[in-house]
Amino acid sequence: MEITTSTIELEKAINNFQIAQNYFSDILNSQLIIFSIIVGALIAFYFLFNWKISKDQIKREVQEAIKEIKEKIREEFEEKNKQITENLARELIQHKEEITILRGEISRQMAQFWDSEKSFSVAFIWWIRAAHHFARANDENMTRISLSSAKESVEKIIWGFELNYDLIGEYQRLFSQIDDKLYKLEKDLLDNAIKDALNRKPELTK
Amino acid sequence: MPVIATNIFKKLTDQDKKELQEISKGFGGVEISEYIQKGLDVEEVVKYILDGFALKNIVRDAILWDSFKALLRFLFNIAVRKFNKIIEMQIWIRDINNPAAINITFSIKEEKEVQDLFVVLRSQLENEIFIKSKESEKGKIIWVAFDRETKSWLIKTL
Repeated sequence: MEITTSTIELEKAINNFQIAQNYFSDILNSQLIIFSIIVGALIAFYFLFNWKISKDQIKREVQEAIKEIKEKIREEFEEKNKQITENLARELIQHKEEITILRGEISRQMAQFWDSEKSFSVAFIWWIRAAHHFARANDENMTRISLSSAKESVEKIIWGFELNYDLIGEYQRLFSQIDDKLYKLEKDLLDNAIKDALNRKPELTK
Repeated sequence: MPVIATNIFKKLTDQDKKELQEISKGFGGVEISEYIQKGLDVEEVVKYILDGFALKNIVRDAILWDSFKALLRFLFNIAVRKFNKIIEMQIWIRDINNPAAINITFSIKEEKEVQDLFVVLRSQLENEIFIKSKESEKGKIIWVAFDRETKSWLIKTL
């Protein structure tokens, strides 16, 4: 009888134990699932966060890189543009001076021709044109020569009325554009020669 | 007495000279002379030298100024008549009545230019020379010229 009672109690205890074990196992499983969900969520969140951060950072870095490249290209372009402009300006100035000198040379040739033809009034205006061109091209030597030659032509003019009246306005304009300080001596001498020519009495017959 | 000298003197008839005297009455008559060109003489460029005209009086007197313009128009028309075509008339006006002689040089290729040029010339002479008494500077020469390129009168004192 006692054995039977013990056996029943034992079975009861086993049953209780199994119930407790199952109960404990269920709790553990639930916790494990919750923990897994939390970890999963954290991983997902971490991934999303990283993904977002990385995307923005990459975008920012790419933008910065583009900006840097653009800036570099712009600087290079400006530098090259500046160089080209400077070279072109230098070339243009040089060619302009060469053309001006050429014009001066042509005027000088014309002046020499008219001097040789003894048409000193015509030669005079060509010398003035030559002096003006050479002065613009900063050819001091030729400017002085031309102004001196203009003076010599004027000295050979018998009186002022021999000058071509139509060209006197041009002479006055061109002469005033030649540097007063740099060519003061030559200009003063030419002015005096013209003054003498104007003062000479013309030959008028009744 | 003022003098008008020209390189077409030989082409002028007695009638021309008479008409010239008539139109110059306001200036007390004129003496007409021949100007013999010493340098290059282009036949169709007619030169007139108007010497001894008292410019200050002419500029300041509207009637005399109009007479002076009429005289220049007349001179241009004589030249056109002589060559029967449009010519270039070169004018040199010289006034030695002042301590500083005034010289005005220009050319005319059309009769209407007399009017156009003289409107500005009158004010230029008055404002740049007579008001500033430049004509009183002894020993100086005032040279007024018309620049065709800039279409302006330029004044230079020598």
